[in-house]
Amino acid sequence: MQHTRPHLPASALAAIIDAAQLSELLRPWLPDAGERAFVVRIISEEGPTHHRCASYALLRLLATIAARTGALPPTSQGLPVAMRLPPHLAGGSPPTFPLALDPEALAAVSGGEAAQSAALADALCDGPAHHVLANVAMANLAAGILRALERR
Amino acid sequence: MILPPGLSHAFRAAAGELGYAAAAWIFARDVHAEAGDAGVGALRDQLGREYPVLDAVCVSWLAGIRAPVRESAACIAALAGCRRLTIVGLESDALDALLPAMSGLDAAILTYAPLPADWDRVLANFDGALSAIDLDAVLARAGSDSALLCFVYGGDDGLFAPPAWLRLDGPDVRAAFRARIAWNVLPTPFAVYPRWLAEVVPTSFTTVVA
Repeated sequence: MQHTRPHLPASALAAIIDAAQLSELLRPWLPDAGERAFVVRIISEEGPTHHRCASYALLRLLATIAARTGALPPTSQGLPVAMRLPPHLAGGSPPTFPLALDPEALAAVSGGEAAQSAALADALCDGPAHHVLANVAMANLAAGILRALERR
Repeated sequence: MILPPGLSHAFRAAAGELGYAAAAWIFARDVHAEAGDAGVGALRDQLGREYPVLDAVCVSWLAGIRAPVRESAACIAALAGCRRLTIVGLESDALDALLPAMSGLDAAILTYAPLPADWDRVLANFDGALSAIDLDAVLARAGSDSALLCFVYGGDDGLFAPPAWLRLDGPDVRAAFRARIAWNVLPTPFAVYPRWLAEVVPTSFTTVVA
């Protein structure tokens, strides 16, 4: 049986997460400080430590690329990201998170095909809230980078 | 000094419909008016172990503090951007300070509580500014402009909340509310076991105000 390296303590992973950096990279999508703090809290404080740390790493990586390419803001309104409520409260219009999904991120993968875009949106926006919001933030950053590259 | 045997039942009823701390200040004041410091000492001795918030208020009273400090400004600031508020625990004088300053706020209080209360009578005290909800309806009030407010008690040695807060401290609820505010209405340490309350960590909240 192959031995693997022992895991680092969870505190070592958690210590890496800098909420101020997350807040800064989300600012273009969430100018309101209260809304930004809400989303940052979910991404950085909810879910397993390794997932929080991984989301942080990927978001910082994308933000670094975005800064170097001069990522462009979205040109269309984002798709609302619904909160997942328990079944007895389903129906009607569910409340949404303040962070919306950039539809150009979907189009970049689906080629604009509606059914594929809907499936991608459904997948990106499903699961635990920390997962969903990290997905959406990454997709938004990637869409901004693509816009910048296409302008070149 | 032996206090009237019905006092425990009277306090229980008052605490259920006004809140532990709000009722405790009234009882300390009225007992003091009738029997002075000795009466407040007897109130503490005879009911304090059953009602730890009453015990702590009596300690404050005997130290010369005659009324709670109710500074709602910090709580109002913590609610910036919120249009819907769900309240855990009841402290009527704190709500009397908060709700009139938050016009337009959709405020509801959780009726899941350890002490019995006539909620119609409780709500009537707030003249339409407060409604009641049960535990299974809390998530129906979720949203990025929604907040939870919990009344807590305790000093540096620990923070104590109504047990209902434990039912709302899961990842499903944490991620569905913009803010989770604790308002410490009695920031003094308990001298007796804090019966009927649950110890919570400050990180259970996004903001702790006192």
